[in-house]
Amino acid sequence: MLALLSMLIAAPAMLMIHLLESELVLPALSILFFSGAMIAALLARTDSKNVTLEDVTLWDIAGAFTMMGCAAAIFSEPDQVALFFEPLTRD
Amino acid sequence: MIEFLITDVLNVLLQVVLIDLVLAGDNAIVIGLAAAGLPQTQRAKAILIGIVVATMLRMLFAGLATQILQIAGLLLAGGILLLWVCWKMWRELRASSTGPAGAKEAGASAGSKPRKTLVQASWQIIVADVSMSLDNVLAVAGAAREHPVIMIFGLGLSIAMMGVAASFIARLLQNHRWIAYVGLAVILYVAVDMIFRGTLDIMRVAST
Repeated sequence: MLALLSMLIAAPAMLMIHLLESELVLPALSILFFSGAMIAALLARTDSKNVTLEDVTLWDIAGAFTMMGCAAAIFSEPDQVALFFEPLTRD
Repeated sequence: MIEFLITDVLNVLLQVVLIDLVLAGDNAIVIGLAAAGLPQTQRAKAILIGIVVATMLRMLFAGLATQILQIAGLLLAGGILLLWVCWKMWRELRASSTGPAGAKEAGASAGSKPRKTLVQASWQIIVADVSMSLDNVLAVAGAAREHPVIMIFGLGLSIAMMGVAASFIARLLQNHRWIAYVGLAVILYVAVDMIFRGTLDIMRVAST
């Protein structure tokens, strides 16, 4: 389960890092981590006793993804997201 | 004409959704950190208090965005307030890690004395919400200035997002207390960044 979740996050993360503009990588990663947290939480809800590693549950993984998403969001500049949309709004 | 309006609204909506996702992060970590030391029954209450206060402050500050922008030194004051919250949380973490054996699981077990009370946690969350909402609301107000409905939608989204994220983080920190230091470091970064930008603002105002 942990390997599947890691693949679900790692593959799009690599793509984002290579394809997106550097200013947009962190906001995009934060959304990816939040999505990963949601998937882990949904899996945890289906089986609350599901333990992936010693003392680590799917709820813990959901929390860790959320924390990483929050950190990526904080270190990214919201102004950059606004600037990205500016030309689209102006057209 | 209609197509242009729809595209414009969709662009602003996407912009507000992304900005709100980005801005809810720091609130979620602080609420999660503060709620993690509480017993299970009080944790949900603390998270609810944090979300309600953050929402009310965001609405208030969004309404006063123009006036707030004109007050020099507000960002610096917010940063110092957040730094104080970081200090309080650091002391609590130190106390719980150097406390007697079994103190780590305080709060989780019904019989032992919890690390903090609901009132203490609520105050920490409220003070942090005040300082961070000041910083956050201006970006959203700027993005959705001509679309109040979208702004309300963005606000609703960030409330839901904060609640879910804070409860996940609180649950994680309850089981793995050492991760709280990582969260604290992130909030410390936000405080130092606010102080730095606030100082620059004051210097700019003083030089004109």
